[in-house]
Amino acid sequence: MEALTVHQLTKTFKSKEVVKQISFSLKTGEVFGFLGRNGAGKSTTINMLTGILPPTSGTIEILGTPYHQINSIKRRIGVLPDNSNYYNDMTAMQHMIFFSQVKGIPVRKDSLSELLEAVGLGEDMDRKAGQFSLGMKKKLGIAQALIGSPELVFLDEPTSTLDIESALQIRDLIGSLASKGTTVFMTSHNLDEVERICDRIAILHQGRIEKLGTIAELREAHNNRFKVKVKYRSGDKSRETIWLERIRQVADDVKRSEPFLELVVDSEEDIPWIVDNAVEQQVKIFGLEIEQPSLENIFLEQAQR
Amino acid sequence: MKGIVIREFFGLMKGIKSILIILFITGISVLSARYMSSSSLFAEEASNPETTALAGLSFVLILFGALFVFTLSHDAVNRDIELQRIRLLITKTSRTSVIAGKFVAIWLFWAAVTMISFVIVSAITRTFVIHELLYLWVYLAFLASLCVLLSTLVTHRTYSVILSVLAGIAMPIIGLWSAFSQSSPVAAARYVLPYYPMAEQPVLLLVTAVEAGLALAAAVMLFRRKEL
Repeated sequence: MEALTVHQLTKTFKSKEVVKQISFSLKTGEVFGFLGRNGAGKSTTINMLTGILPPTSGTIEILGTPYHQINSIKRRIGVLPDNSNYYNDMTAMQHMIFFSQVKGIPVRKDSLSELLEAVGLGEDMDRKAGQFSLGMKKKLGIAQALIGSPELVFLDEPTSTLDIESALQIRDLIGSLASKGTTVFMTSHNLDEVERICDRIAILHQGRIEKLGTIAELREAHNNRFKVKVKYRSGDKSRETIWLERIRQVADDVKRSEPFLELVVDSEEDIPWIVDNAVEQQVKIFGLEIEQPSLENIFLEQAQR
Repeated sequence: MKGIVIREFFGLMKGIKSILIILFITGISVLSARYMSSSSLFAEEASNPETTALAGLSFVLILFGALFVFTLSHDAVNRDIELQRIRLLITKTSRTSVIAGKFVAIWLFWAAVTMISFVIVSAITRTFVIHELLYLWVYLAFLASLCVLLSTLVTHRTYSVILSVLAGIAMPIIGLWSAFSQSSPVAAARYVLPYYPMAEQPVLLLVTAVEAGLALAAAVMLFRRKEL
């Protein structure tokens, strides 16, 4: 079942089209990463999906409900908006109670405490938000998004402003949400994080989705080749030449600057073949580095277009 | 909506401001009730203790009600927009509920303030004139709805506080002028503002109630269209 379906979604501010006819869908229990440079339209999209901004055109269906009935399902979704602020005179727990009441969900202090503990605010739940750091406010934002165990959660930059330890904690939390069947739509600048957490990714560029798929699919589409760096030594120049000639049969971009050899192969299977041939020609291998295109490579290539 | 009402109501209630307002309104009400019952100037009114009992309270609120309500709650909506808290609310409940919650909280606060004053004045004068209190509540609903509309219309608090002071001063002046003058250029305003109904024709408070509803509906429509 689709948790979210977006079709030809467009947002125009005055005459500027910020989001341009994007379409995608999320399956229930999926973690979906939404990437893009600053100004690509990520937050505008998430704001449209959560009812903060009205779309200019296009259709959205959330949890099987048409967009114009979004008020009826707000209890079933959780949202961490970007640039949100809190009530300085209220404690973390008071915020949780307040937001539960606003959402129309019965207040259960024990489950609210659990949420605050899950985001790392267990010891600070009775401190006022006015004394919170940016990171702590972000954690409170994540906790409030999870009030009432929503079926679909929108997280805009959930780990920005968090320290490494807290970011890892939130990453685990998102993972556990997905394992419980919660669908997560998140934006992030941390590509490594997205690569680890997300089942599928969309890369937004100038308001359009340029790439969409699993990491493996994106790699495939990106020309999924392996960069290999070999550290070697050979006592016999003629044998070394034979070895290099054989390598050129399967590899491209062969660059030699002793003691290193750099090359690019299409298949992982070519790598042991290169090593076997080195042994055969009595070329000694001291080290081997293999690099696959990361999400960062894919993203950077997209961004440089 | 419940959470917004509770938060907004107690936000208004706590602090020295609300205590001072209650003391001011109750003090003036009691003093004026005592003065009217003993002064020869109000001999006619004094013969009817029911009239004098809440006259002071009504008098204070007619003169200062708009100023009090507007200046105290001019930022009921735009405060949350300016401080970037509104998104947390509208992603949890409907925009209509947000506006309705703000309105109910402001009205409840003033209903509570007048109730406290009413109880104290009634205890002192030993009279209980509930319909006067109901008239005041309709009048306060009108002011609360205008306040919410102003706060939705004007996004910046700096501007809304200036407008609230100006409106709080101008409204009773125009309202009372129109109420007691047949030929003034503002005479027509008596049917729009609640001062004539309050002073002379309580039945016209039905119009005031409808106006409050319209102002609230306008605030909801504006808020629904606002890009937050």
